[in-house]
Amino acid sequence: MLDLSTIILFLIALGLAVVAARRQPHIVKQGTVMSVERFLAVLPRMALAILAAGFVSKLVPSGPIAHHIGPDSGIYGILLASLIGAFIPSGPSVSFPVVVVLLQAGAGFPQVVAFLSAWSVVALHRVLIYEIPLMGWRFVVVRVLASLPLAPLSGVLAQVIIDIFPMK
Amino acid sequence: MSETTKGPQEPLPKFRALPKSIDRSLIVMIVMVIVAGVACWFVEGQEAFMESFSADLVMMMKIVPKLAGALLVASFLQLMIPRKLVAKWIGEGSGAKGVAIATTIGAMTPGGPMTSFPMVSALAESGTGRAPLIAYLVSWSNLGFQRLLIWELPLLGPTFLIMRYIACLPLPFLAAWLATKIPMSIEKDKKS
Repeated sequence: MLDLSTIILFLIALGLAVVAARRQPHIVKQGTVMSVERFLAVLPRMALAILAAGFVSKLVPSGPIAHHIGPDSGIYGILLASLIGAFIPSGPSVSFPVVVVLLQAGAGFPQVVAFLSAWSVVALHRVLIYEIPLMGWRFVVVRVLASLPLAPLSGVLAQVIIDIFPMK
Repeated sequence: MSETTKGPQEPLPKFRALPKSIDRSLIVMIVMVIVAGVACWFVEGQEAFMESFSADLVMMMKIVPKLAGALLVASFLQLMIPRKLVAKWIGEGSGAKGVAIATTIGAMTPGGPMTSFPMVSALAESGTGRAPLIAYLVSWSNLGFQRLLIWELPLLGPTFLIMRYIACLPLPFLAAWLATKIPMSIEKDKKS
């Protein structure tokens, strides 16, 4: 249950707490309270997300997903995954479970990387709710145009990395 | 929108543990789980349902300690890096150095769009160029450590995370460079 990454996280947290205790002692208590509050807010979402992802991945037939965005789907799969990712209108509590489902159904790592990049960088829902009202449409046009190649590129780079260092 | 025109000296946005929308989105998620669970039970059978359910419980047991550690790190960092300072760092850098600073800070800045966009908007109005602003936004959304710690590490694991991080590191720089090549003003329409 306590794997290496968990231990590292707690060690970093401890290190930060020690630094905070020396410089701004009130942050230690404030940060702990904030963590507990967030834990109580995120945990139910995380649990629901995992449950939904588990059930959906039983239902989703792996054939089409493996065919279209599987490890062998290449640049076509990367482009398709980028397109789908850009239109996922939600926060991380939906998109990361979706990725879990996609991976279990046979999606490839580079395709999933492209999916996550498109979702996070293009983020149409965020554009509509925050970016256009606060930044104005000209800024948004420039930013989205400059962001369009990013997701496919990250998928291609992921493919190169996996070709050099095969995962599993 | 008056709070966006104060410049980078605006006060630190207060952290809200439970946004108002949590109730609605939690209900949506509960409905999703019920629909998916019922469908799984009837389409795939009771056995598949129980198999999925017990696998989920095992996954949650693994995730809970990770989530706790991740939240401690995210919260401490958020409190130790004041947003005023963040705005100052991004606003001061220029050229490739400015883009590199904005990328680094973007990855380190916790918080959702309701805290990041007002800051970026204020920076834009105080004359910060498009390249660092766009690098910051791409980095914050794609490489931001908070989302990475809370969602990506627990659900997808450290190997995937490291691979994706390396593949995505060049993105803020590329976006910033491309943005400078787009012949279009980013000025807001002066309506109000």
